[in-house]
Amino acid sequence: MKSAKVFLMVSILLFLAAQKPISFWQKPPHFPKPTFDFKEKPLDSTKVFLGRMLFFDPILSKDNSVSCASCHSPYNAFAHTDHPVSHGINDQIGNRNAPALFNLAWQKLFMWDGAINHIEVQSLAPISQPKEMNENINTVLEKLKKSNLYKSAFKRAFGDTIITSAKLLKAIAQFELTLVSANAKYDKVYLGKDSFTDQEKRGYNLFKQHCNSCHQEPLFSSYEFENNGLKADTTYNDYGRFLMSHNPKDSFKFKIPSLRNLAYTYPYMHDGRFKKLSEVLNHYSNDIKTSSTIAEPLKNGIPLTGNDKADIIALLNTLNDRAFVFNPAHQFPKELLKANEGK
Amino acid sequence: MLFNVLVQAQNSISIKFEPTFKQVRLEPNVAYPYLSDSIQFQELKFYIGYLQLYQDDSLVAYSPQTHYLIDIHQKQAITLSIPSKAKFNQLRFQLGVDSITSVSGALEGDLDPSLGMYWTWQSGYIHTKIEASILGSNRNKTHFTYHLGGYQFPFNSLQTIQLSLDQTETIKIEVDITAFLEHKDVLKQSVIMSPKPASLALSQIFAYSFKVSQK
Repeated sequence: MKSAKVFLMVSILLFLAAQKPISFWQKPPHFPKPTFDFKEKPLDSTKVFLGRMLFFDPILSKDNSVSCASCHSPYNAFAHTDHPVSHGINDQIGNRNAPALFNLAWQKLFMWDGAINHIEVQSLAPISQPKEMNENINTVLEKLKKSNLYKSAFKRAFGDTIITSAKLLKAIAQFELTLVSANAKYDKVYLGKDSFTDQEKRGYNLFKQHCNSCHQEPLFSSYEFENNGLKADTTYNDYGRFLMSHNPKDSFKFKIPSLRNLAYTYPYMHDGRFKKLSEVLNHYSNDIKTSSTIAEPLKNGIPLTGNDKADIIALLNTLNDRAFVFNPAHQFPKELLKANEGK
Repeated sequence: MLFNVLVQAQNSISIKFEPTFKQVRLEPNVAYPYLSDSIQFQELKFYIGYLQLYQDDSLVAYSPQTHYLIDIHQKQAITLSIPSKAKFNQLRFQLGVDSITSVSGALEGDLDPSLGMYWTWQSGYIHTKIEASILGSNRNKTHFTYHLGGYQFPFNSLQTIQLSLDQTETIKIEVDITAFLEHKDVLKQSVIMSPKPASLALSQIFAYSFKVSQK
C-alpha cells in the first residue's frame, strides 16, 4: 500500500516535471553576450520541441515535400553540403548558398544580405519564397490545425490549441536558438583543456594576422557585411546587401560567414562557387577583384605561401565541432515516429 | 465592486476610420467613376498606431492596443476610455508601424504577419496597402498595387498625423482618397512593393487623406 502511494507520488511528480517548461540555454563561457534577449524571450523545452518538429516537417512547403532541414541538415552543421545554391519544391534552384545555422543568438541580421531583422520572422522568407517552399503562411496554419499531433504540441508549448503564425514562428526560432556550436578542438584549447599542434599554432598566428578582423574569434565572424572581392557571377548578378539598402556603398557586400564547421558546410561563399578550402585561400591570395566597396584588409589580397595555406587549413580544421553536428537533440525528432506508429 | 468605487468614472469614446472617394463611402469591388473611366478597389488597408487624445499638449487617453489594422473589408471602431470630466481637442496617431515594433520579432493580433501586411523576403510592415484597377473607356484594365511601408532610413515611411476636433463621443475620421488619386505623382507607376523613394513619397501624400468628418 505504501509503495503504491510512493509510486503514485513519483508518477505525479514526473508528470508535472514533463509539463513544466524547462529553461536550458547556457552561454558558452568564452562567448560574448548574445544579441538575442533571452531574458525577454526565454527558451523553454516545449517550444523548442515544437520548433524542432516544425523544422523537420515538409508540411511547411506547398507540396509537402521540402522542410527547413532539406537545405539545413544537422549532419552538415545545418547547411546543404555539395549544393552550391538552395533547392526548393519542384526541383527549383535558388540563387544563394543555404547558410549553415548555428550561433544564431549572436547575430543581429539574417540572410546573406541581412534582409531579415529578427530570428522570429526569418522562417517567413523561405516558406513564402517561390523557389524554396512556395507556401502561404495561412495555408500552413490550416494544415497544422488539422493535425492532432500539432494541436497537442501547440497546447503543450503555449497553453492552448489555438495555432497562430506568431506561435509557429516563435517555436521555430526557439529551436534554432538552441543550435550552439562551441565544442570544437579550438574551444577546448581556448578553455585550456587541449593544445594546438605546431602546425595549428602557425595557422592560428596567420589567422590572427590576416583573417581575424572579419572572422572574429570566438564566433569566427563579426556578422557584419563586406565585399570579399569575388568576381560577380553574371548568371545571378547578385549585388548582395545593396538590394536591401539601395545604398551603393553596400554593393557586393554579403554577411561574413563563420569559419566554424567548414568541413561540414562546403561549398563556400554566398553562391557556393568554391568546393575546397584551398580554392577559398587561393581566391584571397591571388584573385581579389578590387572595387570601391572592397573590404579594407583585402585591398591588396592576402600574401600567403603554399605552406601558410596548409597551416591555416590545419587551424580551420580545429573549428569543426563534431559534438554539435551529431548532437541527437538537434536531429529529426524520432519520438514522433513512435507516437504515430500503427495509427 | 469595491474596486469600482476607487476607479475614476470613465467615458467611452468611439473612433471610426471611414475610407471615402468623391464624398461616397468606399466599398471594395465597386466601380466608381474616375475621370472618363471607372475605378475599383480590391484592397485598402492601413495601420493606425498609438492613437491618442490630447487636450492642447496634454495626453488625455490612449488606445488599448498599440496598433490597429483598418481594412475596407471590415467595419470596426476603436474604443478609448477617458476620465468622465476630461476634455480633449486633438487626435494624434501614426500611420504605419514604427521601427521599434518592426524589429520586435513575431507579433500577435493586428500585427500578426499572416495578415498580408508583412513583407516576408525583407523584414518590415506594409503601412498602407492599396490595390485598385482602372477600367478605361476602351475596356483596358490597369492594375495598381501599392504596398507602401518600410522602417529603415532613408525610406522609413511612417507618418505622424495630428487632427484638431470637437469633443464628441463618436469621432469619425474620413480617409478621403480623392486627392491622393488625383495627385500628379500617384498612378505614375502601377507597382510599388518595397521600401524605396516612391514608397516614402506616396506615404506622405496618403497621410493628407485623413480628416475629421463633419457629417
